[in-house]
Amino acid sequence: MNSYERLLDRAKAAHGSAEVFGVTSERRHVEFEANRPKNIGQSQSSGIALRVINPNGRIGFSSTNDADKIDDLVDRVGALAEYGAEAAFEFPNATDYSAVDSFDHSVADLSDDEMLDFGRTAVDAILSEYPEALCSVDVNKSSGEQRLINSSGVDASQRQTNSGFFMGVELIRGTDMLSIWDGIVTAKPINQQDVNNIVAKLLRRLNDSQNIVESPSGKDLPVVFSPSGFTGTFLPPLLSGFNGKNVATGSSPLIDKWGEKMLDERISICDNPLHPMTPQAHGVDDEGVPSRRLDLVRNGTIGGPFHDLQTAGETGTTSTGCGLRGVATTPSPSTSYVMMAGGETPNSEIFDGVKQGVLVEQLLGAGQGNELGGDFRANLSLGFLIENGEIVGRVKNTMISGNVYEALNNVELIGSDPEPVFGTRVVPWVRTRGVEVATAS
Amino acid sequence: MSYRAQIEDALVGHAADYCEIRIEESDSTRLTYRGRTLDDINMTSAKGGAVRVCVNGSWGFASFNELADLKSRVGDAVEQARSLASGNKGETTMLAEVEPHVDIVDPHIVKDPREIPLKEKIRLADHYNDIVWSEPGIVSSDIIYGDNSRKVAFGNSDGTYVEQEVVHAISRISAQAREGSDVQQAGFSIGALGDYGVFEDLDDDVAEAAQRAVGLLKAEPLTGGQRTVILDPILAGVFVHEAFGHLSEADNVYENEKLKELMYMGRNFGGKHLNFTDGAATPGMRGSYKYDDEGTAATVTPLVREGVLVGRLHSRETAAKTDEAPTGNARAISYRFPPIVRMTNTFIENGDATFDDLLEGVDEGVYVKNWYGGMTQHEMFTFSSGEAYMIRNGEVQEAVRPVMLSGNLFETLENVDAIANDREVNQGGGCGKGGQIPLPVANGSPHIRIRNCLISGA
Repeated sequence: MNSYERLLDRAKAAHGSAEVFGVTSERRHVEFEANRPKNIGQSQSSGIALRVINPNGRIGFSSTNDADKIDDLVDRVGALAEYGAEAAFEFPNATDYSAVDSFDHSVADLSDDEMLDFGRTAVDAILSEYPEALCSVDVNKSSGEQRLINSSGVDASQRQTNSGFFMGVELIRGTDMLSIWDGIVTAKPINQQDVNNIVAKLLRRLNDSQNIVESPSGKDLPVVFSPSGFTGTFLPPLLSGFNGKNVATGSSPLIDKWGEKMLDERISICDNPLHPMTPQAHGVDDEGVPSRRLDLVRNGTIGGPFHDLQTAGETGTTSTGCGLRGVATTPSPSTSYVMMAGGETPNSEIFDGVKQGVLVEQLLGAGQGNELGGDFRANLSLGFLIENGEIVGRVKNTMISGNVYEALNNVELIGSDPEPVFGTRVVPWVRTRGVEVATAS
Repeated sequence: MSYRAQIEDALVGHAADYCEIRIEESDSTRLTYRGRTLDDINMTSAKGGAVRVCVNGSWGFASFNELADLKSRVGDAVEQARSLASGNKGETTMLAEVEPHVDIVDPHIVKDPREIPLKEKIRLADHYNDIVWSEPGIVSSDIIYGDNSRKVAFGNSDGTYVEQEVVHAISRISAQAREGSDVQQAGFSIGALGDYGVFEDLDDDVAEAAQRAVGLLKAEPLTGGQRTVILDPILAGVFVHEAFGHLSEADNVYENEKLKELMYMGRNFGGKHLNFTDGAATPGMRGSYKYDDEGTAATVTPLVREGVLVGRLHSRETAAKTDEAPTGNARAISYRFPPIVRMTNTFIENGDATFDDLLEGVDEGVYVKNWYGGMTQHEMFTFSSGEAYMIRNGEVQEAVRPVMLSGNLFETLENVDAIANDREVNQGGGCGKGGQIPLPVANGSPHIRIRNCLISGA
């Protein structure tokens, strides 16, 4: 890859300090539509990005995936740097990184036939209980390599494999359409057990959906969030407050709250890019800063923000190693593997004592509201009525809304055994109040 | 070798029932402001290709940005599709017949954003940012300006070869106000096909957005429940896109017998004032083009006339499999994706009421304007307003916190009880489906009134 060094040398000569980031990746997937194999696809992609800090301290950035245009990048970033943001950082020096397992050779060995078989067994398992169901499946594998070099001596290469299994099931009865989905992504090759676990989760939700019942409404109902419901409802508005960009601009509601207890004391949430064999595991971020486990919330107390180099510099601190990017964009502060600690209640007892409440599993339209302020609101695309500690049926035309800081201060119970959500989050079951439930009569 | 020669050469002897090849070049410029300063300027150029083949009803697809040896890409895709087809006995390739075209289509240009110097784009964005910040109480701003051009050379085994180029300009401007831990934001999104002018002369809109953000800190939240709502043309455009448009996309229906039974031609969805249309052949909008990404000529498709389902949107495959006419709605956001059935420019046609007529019938309700977003899952949909105001006794009164609205296709359209005659078009949105986002689309509508619409608390 001497094109990297050549580009860096030219950029350094022209602009002072510089950084070259490039990726190559390959992906292959099979897709089932309406219970049958339908598409098989593959993609190959590569690209290279150049970022410089010019002598006036301004940032220039550009990228291309066209080999013929790589040489143009040096002049182009120079022109852009004239107007670029003022750099609040210098490119970091070379340092030692933790080696984190993120690559498994055997992912490459997953054959089309094996991927098709995973799909077929899953479709057959659903159809054997729900013959009228329509299943869609995506089974995929990918591998990628990235390399970062900068004019301060960083030369960090990382490899990543991923494989995933994603399944959706549709069931139409009259004008009622039920649509549920689940999936997993991992750095390892997916296996039959992974597929069986997803199928079991889907079947549980299908079984619970057989009766449609009226949802109660109000502001003081016990509302249970499954790990996927919790992830969809609370994590986006919560994490936006910790995002270094929102902290640097002053729009995070947390800017004067670090170290304060704002959530229930049983809540602890961290981001851990070092967790091995997860879909985005890495020992160094995409700017050359060592990655580390970062406590966002500890026993209800707000820790600190996650930063990249620029947002850290703007707020007078150091990067937390959270500068991630694709090849066509500049780095921005990002989480990798968010883990929330379990509580004391066995998962099987999370509904105990609920006279009447709602279970939130899947949302439609989350993220359209004022997330920055911690607000959430969504339609329940999959929600259930709980009565006397049991799921009694599915609720429809029901919306939830509230504020994450309020809802997570009114927690009743936290399940003891967190569960993976799409392979990138690990979250427990949570029962809370302080969520408004509205419903159409 | 020209793209045409490369594509035609690679198509020779392809050994599939159908084969298509796209080669694409794109360039984009994007300015991102966060807070007081220009946070990011990004200029990216990309080039890549895609091959898609069909063998006995099974599809093989490959995308790549190394364009050498297209012929072996075709061979790989055919081999994949074959192996898939071997496990799919009894299927055949069904694609609606379309007339082959050979054409070169120049971009629709009003004021070419590529000819505006970067310096001028930055000057104008700086100016808008200054306006946002001149409003007391503003703590942050987000301004995005972007333009891009995409040039696609497309050829298929039916003899079509088309080169098309499109140029888009978009902008989103939002302001944030804060009081303690209460953060509120207000803003707007705009876009245009081939016209930088959409980004000019926005001073009043920007100032108003900043004032609204500050005003929202004082606005009361509503309690969730069912209410009478009047949607402004922008939000009503999002409504028709979410509530009806997605279920008009035939790929949802063609292999789904149950859904076909629900979405049959001739089904009544509501009053005679309901008239919905989609079409890329309507010129000059962000969803406009001459040929779709399968080389099919664009059309204008009536979806609903006088409350009755009369049409839906197709690719060549969904048209053949439902025995309906192709509509030219197969779109791919880039060479990295196969074309799928998408909306283009989607409208609710004018009714005969006025906005005042709509207000007159409302003792208490909510006037919802502007959009934040929307999503559909089959018959269920949600969409969010950027602004909301109480209506009492037929008068628009104080601002309340923006709300999310939710509904069900089979009930909500029945509850649309009045449609005004003041249609406007919103071109600031991008549609997402199957991971392909943001696809340029336009939505439009007059003001509409919905009774018993479920809204969330705020």
